[in-house]
Amino acid sequence: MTTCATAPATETVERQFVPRTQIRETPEAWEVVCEVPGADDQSAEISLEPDRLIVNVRVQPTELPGYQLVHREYREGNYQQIFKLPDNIDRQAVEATIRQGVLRLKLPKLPVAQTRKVPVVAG
Amino acid sequence: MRLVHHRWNPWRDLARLQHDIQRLAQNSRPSQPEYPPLNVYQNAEGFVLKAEAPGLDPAAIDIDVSGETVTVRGQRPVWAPETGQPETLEFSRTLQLPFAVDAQSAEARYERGVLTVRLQRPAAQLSRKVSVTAG
Repeated sequence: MTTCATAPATETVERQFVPRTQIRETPEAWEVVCEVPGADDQSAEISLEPDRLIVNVRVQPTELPGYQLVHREYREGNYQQIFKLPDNIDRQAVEATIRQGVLRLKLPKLPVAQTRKVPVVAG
Repeated sequence: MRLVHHRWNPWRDLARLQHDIQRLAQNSRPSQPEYPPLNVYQNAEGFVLKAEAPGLDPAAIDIDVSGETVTVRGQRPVWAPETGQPETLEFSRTLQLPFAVDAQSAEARYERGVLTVRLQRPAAQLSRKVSVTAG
């Protein structure tokens, strides 16, 4: 499974980032971990298209009225990541969770087709 | 006009270049960014520190406030590609503030993977408006 180019930036001044992402494959599933600090379970929209998975995460920017930002090491913004999906994903069983700014996706693989003998009936 | 004749010594120039590069490397910022990245907000009463640190165990976050110094310690998850299991890496980051803060009133919250620390200046140090009595 790979990531592909993100959609073009919107016209607004909102920033969009590609989250730090780790993809792992096990015999049973693909496991994806994305770092999306500032997001909770209400923040993410996950779309499963025929050949790709699109993750959109909206993050509320910090609002501190009366305060001035005097030192900045990171910028806040939304996140987007697009994954090209392999063919053998069990689409009905895809799971997503977010906890403390970490999005975890589990994409189980379809069970490998078993060889079966086809009975022949006279007809 | 005096013609000054210098013999070119390429080794001396190379040594000087090497020395300059070394000094530049030592003075420049470290290539590894500090963890966690911090944004600092300030007003007359104090500071708010925000740190992006997703995936931490809240119970393992340790914040130390002392005078003008704030230290944040914890265990950050690092996903090892081989095992796929999250491993933890200890981190410690100390921030020097431009003025002292009151340790007793410090508050910290960790939610959505962002650590927010609110620090107040000691009440005695807050400037206050002095009313003028006419006499």
